[in-house]
Amino acid sequence: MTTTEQAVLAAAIEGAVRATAGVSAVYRSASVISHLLRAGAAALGVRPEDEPLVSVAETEDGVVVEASIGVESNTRSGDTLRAVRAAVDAVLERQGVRRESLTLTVVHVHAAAPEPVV
Amino acid sequence: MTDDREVPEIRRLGLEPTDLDGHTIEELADYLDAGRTPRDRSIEESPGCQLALDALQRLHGLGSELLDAETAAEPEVDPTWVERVLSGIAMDARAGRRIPFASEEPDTDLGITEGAVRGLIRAAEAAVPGLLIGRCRLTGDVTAAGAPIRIEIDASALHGQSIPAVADRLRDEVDRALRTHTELNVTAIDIAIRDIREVPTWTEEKP
Repeated sequence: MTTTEQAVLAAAIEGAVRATAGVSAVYRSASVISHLLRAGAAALGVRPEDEPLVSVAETEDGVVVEASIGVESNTRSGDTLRAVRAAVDAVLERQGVRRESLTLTVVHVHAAAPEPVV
Repeated sequence: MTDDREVPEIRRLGLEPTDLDGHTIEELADYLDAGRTPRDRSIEESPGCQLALDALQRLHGLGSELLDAETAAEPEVDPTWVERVLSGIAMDARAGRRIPFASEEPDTDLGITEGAVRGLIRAAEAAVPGLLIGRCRLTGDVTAAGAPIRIEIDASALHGQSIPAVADRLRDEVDRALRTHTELNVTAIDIAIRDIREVPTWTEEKP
């Protein structure tokens, strides 16, 4: 998989993640692998604003995918994570790519103000 | 994205420059005051900054009345509680430990950050008028599924409110939020009301 193909796949996954019910935002992953991928992209001249926020790295056994998401407070984080997992797997299946691992993390719950008690 | 001027300010609050992705709590307050424009991607795409902005937004929502009352009450303004709230916001915005969710697939790792959970706990303060959370901690091994976890919250309340009622309301809201968004085995939610603040119009009886 070329760097461009990897970026296209990452963008497709990011789109699927954003479209999942309950997801409020996608954030930059703070893991070591994501930092390494960003450093690699920067070395190739990719501007930070053009990088997909989802990290995709190719290994011998498939791809490693990482995404950090925000969720809506009126959903359940566990349910949203599992829906995102299904959405990512659907993209990979459509593209004929084998997944080695998937790491999904809720990093922010977009809070709606609860009803105050007077 | 830090400079030499900013670093000591962050350290004064016991933070590392990476906690708010290089931003300071003062910068975030200014950004909020400016209506979050022009849009700053380094802030909007940072979970830590978003968590801090959520808390600052609620603090702003309490209005200037609260800060004015504090100032009027204490000619020698004691910055203690303001600093405590601001440093608590910044400290709690750190990502912290990763809290796992059960997954049927061994090659799938689902989780929520401790910072996101602290943000949830902080958001519960909105359920109790005038209540401010200064700091919250998750005690126990949150990285191990099923491990017993205690939640410890320091807060301040308004003079005239029933402390047990305020604490019960906050505890219920925190419990509901944690059950909705985590699989933590929460064994206790300890709430310490460490400050009582007086804001006259808030404590007057409503008609």
